[in-house]
Amino acid sequence: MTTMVDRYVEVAMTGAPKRSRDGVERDVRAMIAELIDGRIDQGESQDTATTRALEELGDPRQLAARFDDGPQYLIGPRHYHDYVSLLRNLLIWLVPLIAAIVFAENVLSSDKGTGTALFTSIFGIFGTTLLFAMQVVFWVTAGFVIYERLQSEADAPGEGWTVADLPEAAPARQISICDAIWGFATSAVLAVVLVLQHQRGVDAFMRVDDSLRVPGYPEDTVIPFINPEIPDGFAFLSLATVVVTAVFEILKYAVGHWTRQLVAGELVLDAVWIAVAVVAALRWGLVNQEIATAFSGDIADWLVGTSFERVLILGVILVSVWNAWEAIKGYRARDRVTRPDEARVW
Amino acid sequence: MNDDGDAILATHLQELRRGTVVMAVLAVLRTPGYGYALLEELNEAGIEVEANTLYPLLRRLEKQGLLVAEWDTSADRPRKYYRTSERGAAMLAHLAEAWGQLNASLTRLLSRGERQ
Repeated sequence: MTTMVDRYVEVAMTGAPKRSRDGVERDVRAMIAELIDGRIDQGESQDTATTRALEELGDPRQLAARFDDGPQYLIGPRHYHDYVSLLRNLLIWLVPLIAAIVFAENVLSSDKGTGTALFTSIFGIFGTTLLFAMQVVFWVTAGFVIYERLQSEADAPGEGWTVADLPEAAPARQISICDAIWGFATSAVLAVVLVLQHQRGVDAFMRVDDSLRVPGYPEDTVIPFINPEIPDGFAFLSLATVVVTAVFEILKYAVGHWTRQLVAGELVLDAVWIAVAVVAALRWGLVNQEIATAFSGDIADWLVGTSFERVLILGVILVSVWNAWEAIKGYRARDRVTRPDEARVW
Repeated sequence: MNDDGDAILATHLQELRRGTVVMAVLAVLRTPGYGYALLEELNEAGIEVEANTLYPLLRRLEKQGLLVAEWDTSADRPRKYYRTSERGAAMLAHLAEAWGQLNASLTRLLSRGERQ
């Protein structure tokens, strides 16, 4: 045989599984030889016959693919939908979660806790989160590729789907994934911030220029933002409220639409938020008065003043009332028929 | 027909022909033969098939036990020839019966369509 045939066979056999390689190679060589001989019998010269025969067979890699019995894809139609669903669900929940964890870890571990650390950590957060997301994609894909190959072909036909497999008619989704993520993230971040500001003080969040510090004030003092005179019990109650809110967001998403119980829960929570904020403000004051002592400047004075406290209270009230109103509105609209694209989560 | 139509026709024709090649191969190889001779005979009979489709098909049918392959080492280079196995012949009978029924059904449907 001419070396052109050898080169062709070499390419065709590249990447072929070792165990079937010899059998396939013998068949391929015999096939090529037959085609060439056939052409020679019809009057072509050896070289012409070789060239024409190989070109008749076409791209050796594609020819090899036709000889290969295995699936020519990573994940086939049977499992593709499950694969995409799982990947999407995982990434939606895990990526923000990891970003939040990395954020908290960055802030906690930085010695100075200055605003610079916060800013530079954003790049770190992005990079780490991206790497994490890539890991999730890789392992889920690998898992499905293996699963696809473990399933024998005989399992495929006749899976026996009946109408009993249809899920019960569910009301259209009213609480979207965006709502849930936003609600959860803000609550979770607030909880983390509340804890951090108590342990690490204002320095953990703001770059405080040294010129603003009152000279002589001990530098290592932890100066929380929220008034530390608020008794521990009440403080834990407030923290619990925030944590419960975060969990409630997940619960709302899981149910998907407004039920009587969910509305009741939402109203109670919103009432608690308002109560906690108002009580804390009226009895003890929200903001740590020491801020004005430790730091000089107009901003520090404004922060400890009544107008800022009123801004905070007003903010809590507005958000709570807004959430309550959305819940009531959603509950009243729950039976209204929505178009399929309106019912989509995202 | 425009280019789009040609392409669509080509894919449907391919689907139509794809199922019949196996029957043709099993039928012809009731008499043992080499791959190349089979290729020529099929094409002459109007079953258009290319070498890079036929040879892999032969190998697959051999694996399924519908063809039996042997190596002819008498000539200066070894050649592989095939023949339909007993299992292949039985399979061919089933396929031929199904083919006949399909043919009858389609003939009915086509003529019904014409009347309308």
